[in-house]
Amino acid sequence: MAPNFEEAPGSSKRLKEEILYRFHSKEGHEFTMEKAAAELSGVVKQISQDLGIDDDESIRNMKPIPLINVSSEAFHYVVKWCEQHKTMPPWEQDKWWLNERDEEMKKWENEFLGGLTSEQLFDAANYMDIKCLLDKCAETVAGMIKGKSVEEIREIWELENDFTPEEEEAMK
Amino acid sequence: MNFLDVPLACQYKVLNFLDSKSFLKLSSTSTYCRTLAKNCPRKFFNARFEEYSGNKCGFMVQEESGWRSYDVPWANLEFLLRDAVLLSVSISEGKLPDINLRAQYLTMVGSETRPAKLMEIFKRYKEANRKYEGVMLWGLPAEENLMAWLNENANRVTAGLLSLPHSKYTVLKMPKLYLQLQHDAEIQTYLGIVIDEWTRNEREIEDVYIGNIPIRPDLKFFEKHTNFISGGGKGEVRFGSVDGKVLRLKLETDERGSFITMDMFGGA
Repeated sequence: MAPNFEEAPGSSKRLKEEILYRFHSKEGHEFTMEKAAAELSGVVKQISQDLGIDDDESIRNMKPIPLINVSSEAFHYVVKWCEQHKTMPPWEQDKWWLNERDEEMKKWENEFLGGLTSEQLFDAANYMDIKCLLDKCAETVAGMIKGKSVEEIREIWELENDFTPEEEEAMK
Repeated sequence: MNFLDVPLACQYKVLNFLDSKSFLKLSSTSTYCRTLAKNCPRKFFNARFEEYSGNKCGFMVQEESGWRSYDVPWANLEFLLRDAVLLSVSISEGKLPDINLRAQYLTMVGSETRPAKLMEIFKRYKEANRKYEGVMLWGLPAEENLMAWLNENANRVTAGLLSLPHSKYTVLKMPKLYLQLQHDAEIQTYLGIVIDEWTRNEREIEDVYIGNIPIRPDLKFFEKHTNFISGGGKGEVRFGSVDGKVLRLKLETDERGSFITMDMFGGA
């Protein structure tokens, strides 16, 4: 069932006391995201910096950030992810051991991404430069083919076998 | 899902999360994935190959459960090893493919790799006008000529303590020494020598790898005298940082062990 964007955590109907960034999805839906959550996105941080947005009042007065490549459905999940991770320490790409999550968070993440079957959320994480989500998406997608045969990998990732018979023979 | 719809940068990210076996299989699915695997900046930290026969050879990589061996067609192996960060060779059969010359680090593993054979490899490296980035002496009887050559030509030497009985002073004087401590029995016997020698010479140990051994008080020595400690296998080694001295600590418990090790190694 498609999410109800009007009641979602990122919908624009949120408490006015919160410091919220506003966004427009590809379909034109308006979403909001709490400051700490939104700033998990490298793109949000960069835009704020470029526009000289350095205080809460400026964020409140900021126009919605257009996310022309992010669908409403994907953004709905992005908001959920970011809200869940807004208090976590900054994601370290090169120092993975600093990114330890407690068991509860790991369980949440696995359940959250367990049903990932499309590349939309991955795309959104990439477009918005949300490193923790990007890495988790990559790990989840990689997990899809773990222990699978070549044929099964082709099926799961919809890959076409275009090797010549000679090339196939060489790989046997 | 359609993998080809995933942005290229993300595809590379996915490849970095694959275990070695899946990575190899993926490279056999389509020409696109084969090219992707070839161009992937991912590097094998610890690849090892041996037992050549026909167009196949045994390809071993270090993974979660230890060394895993795959029977890999040479066509696939060639590009996988082309950029190996650290390539271990066991050359008991005396065959030495040219691909060895392209590895960033080369290690020699096992007592079957005799000094005479090593010297042959060194000669080829020298002819190729390059230096060894790393040479690992593991269970290898130290030989005077070999040590002299290493002193002159190797940028770094990794030694297991089994190398020490014959060459403790020579090995310990290498410009950059990386120690691998894997067996408690070795440590019982030789750790005192290492500590004494290094303390006397006021040296810093560049990197210590501690695997499969219980934590013991004298290992604390390394907290003060190393920049990098990595631990592996089932022996989970945990050190605290002392005045920020130990920059890195790695615990090899993840299924992506080989890559994690590489990351840690490369970042030291």
